[in-house]
Amino acid sequence: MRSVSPLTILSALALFANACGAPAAPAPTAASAPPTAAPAAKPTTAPAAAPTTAPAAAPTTAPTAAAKPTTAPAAAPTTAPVAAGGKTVKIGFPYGITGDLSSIESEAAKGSQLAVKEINAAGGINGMQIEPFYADTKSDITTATNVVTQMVESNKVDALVGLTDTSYMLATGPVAQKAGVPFMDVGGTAPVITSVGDYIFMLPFGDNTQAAATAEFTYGKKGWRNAAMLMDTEWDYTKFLAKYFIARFTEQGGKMLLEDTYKGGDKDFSAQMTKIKNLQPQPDFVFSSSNPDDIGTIVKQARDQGVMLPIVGGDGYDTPLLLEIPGPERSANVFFSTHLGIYGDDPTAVKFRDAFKKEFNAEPQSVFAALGYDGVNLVADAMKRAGGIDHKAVRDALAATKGWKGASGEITYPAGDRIPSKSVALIEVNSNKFNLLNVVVPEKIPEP
Amino acid sequence: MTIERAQVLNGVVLLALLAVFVFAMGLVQNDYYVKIVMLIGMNVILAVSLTITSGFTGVFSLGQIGFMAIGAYTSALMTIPPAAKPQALLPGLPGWLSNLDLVRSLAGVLSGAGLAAEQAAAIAGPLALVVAALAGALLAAGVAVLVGIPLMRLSGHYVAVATLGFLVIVNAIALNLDSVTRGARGLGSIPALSRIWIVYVFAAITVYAVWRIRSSPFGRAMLAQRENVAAAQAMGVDILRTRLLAFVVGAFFSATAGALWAHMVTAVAPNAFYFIYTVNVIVMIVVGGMGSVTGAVIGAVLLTLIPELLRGLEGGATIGPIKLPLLFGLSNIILAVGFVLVMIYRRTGLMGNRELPLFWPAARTTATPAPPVQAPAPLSSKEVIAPTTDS
Repeated sequence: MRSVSPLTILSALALFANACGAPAAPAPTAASAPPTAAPAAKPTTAPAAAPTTAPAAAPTTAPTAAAKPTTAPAAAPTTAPVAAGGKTVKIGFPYGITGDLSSIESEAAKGSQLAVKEINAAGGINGMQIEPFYADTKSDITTATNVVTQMVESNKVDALVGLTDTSYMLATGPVAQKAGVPFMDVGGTAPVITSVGDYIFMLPFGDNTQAAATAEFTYGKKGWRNAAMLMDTEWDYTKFLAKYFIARFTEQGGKMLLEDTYKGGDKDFSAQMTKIKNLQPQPDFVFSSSNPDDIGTIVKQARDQGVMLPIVGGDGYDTPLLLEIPGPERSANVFFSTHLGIYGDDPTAVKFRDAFKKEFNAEPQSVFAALGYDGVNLVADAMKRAGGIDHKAVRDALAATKGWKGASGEITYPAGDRIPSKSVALIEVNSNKFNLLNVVVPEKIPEP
Repeated sequence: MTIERAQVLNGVVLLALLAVFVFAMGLVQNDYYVKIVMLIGMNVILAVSLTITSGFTGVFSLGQIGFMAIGAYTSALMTIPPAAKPQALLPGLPGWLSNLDLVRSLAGVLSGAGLAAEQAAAIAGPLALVVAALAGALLAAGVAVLVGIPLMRLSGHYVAVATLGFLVIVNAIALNLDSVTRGARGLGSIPALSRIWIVYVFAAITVYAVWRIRSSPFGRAMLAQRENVAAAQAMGVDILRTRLLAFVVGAFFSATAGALWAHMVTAVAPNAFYFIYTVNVIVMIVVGGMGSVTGAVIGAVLLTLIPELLRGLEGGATIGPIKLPLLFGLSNIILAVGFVLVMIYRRTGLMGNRELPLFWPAARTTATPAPPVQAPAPLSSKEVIAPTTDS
């Protein structure tokens, strides 16, 4: 009746022993990795595999896994070998390539891969090739902490570039800070991130910057004085964007005639629209602080109910849904701020888009691709300026960045601040297209 | 008598081995290995506490990680230094809590009690973590009583859905009670107080407590009502009280794991304590064997180490002459396939309901007359019901 148990114990022990013995292995194996294995990654196929436990997932995902290695060898011979005995610059790339964040972080990871390939092809940093360490955080904070700790402690990376979410930065930032490794946050926009320490840098503008840009645009350029606010109360992003906008708009002398709210996911906005319609005097425009999922519906219902005022917002509007749901006529007269990178004919952005298309046979799906690309290039630039990879010197060089031109905008870190004062793209929606109006750096940014 | 002595001896040997292990890990400089070893300890606590909640009673709880979140947030709010949690930032915190500097005030108390300043400072950190973890655990246990009284009356998938609802509620509160939790951004600046030895002391206490409960009248009542509610009730087992005890004890220990996690990662956020972790812990006990304490320990160890090791393959590893490309998602696929295989070939998990004989000589002796796998046998033995009917 106990026939199986010795076998079980033995196999369990064997697994355990195997597991204990292995941690030593990753270091040497990773060290010899040529830097560019890029196109084989195909992160887009990965999300299906995310649930580690759902038994149903296994059969459906297995074929994709089997397919990948067959496509890989073709890419392998083209990779440039690392110069024998040459020192390398190790950069860690923690990205959530599977799981909730995969839609944006797998794009960012592609951007980073492209940048690594380009830099290495052009001779590397100060003659040293970049040795990348890619790892999947599985969009799980515990895994992300493990990943970053492993990169810092075991792989001894010289810099980290990755992640797009504030809570992940708060959890992993201290690891880099403690070890004194510069960490470039690719996508997290809450200004609290840089409070972790002086080795943590933000690549995107903070929400206060883009809110200030739209406030200055509406008050200064357009000459609008009265605003009605519509705010989604479900998300930090929308709450803070609204707060910063109000701060900068009223500081200039603008007036908020209405501050109304809704909950992300609402489908009926008729109550809010009626309130806006009944305002006396009528506002000059509506600022709707919204997420991508809702903005299309809001614009459609506003127009259907007779609210023809301009509608203004932040980078949450940067979604095809804004064109698809309301249709070409209703979506006109909408303005928003977003990151450069996939708009306009800025030469750096165009060069990035062309290279991305060539490498991955697809247009970049979101601006995060440009951010992932810029993160590597900015760190590489700082290392060149620092004349080496001494972490402290690189950090100082990063902090001294002035007018650096990237695909997602021009970056300057103001003295003592690691949130960039960065150019913001202002978009006007017209004839079913996003048209780049202007690229601006706001004059004054509200305190975070 | 001999069994008891053998158990005590086994316990001492195991604790000595654990102490040697913890001491040896203290010499490791690489924070990554330290973190993984700590994570194993925390997952052991979670898996063992889910074993008592779900494994022993058969009440399938999906709310375990909600209690972990309560422990993590509560303890974090206690130990974050006042400078990082001012009223301006967290207006929902009561004044005393936002002014509470647990580590420093404990150091003050200790040095007031006659300890040298350095010693006091060294002891204050771990002590603060223990105090904060216990506070979080007590709060979680209190919540578990309130939640458990209605929920533990349910059974089968009803209780699974209801406890899942509890998890969703905890997550929604953490996301939306901005004035206390800072919403989706989470809380940072938590002091890194977790040490391997603290984690393993908590883990040892958890394993010991759950083992004692299992062989106590309460534990036997739990096992009895799992196998047959009607028969257990007929024997005088109070179903609600039995399940509630298991639920509350599980919540208590899960919350201590949450506190340890928060003070290792140094940040807490709502999405850290949600479906992913819930599923991970369930897989641990399913692989290890529902209803086995040693199985839960083995499951926790395996399912913390294996994903980490497999992760090494994804980033473009080299095995001999073969250079692998980047294969993100591979570890998920391998784990899923492995899990399916376990379900096909060992549906009861590696251990089933049994315990490793190394740990529990008592189980071996009772197994001889009546195998614990066959449930009805222990159910009918006298000691199952006799002690529960009094009190």
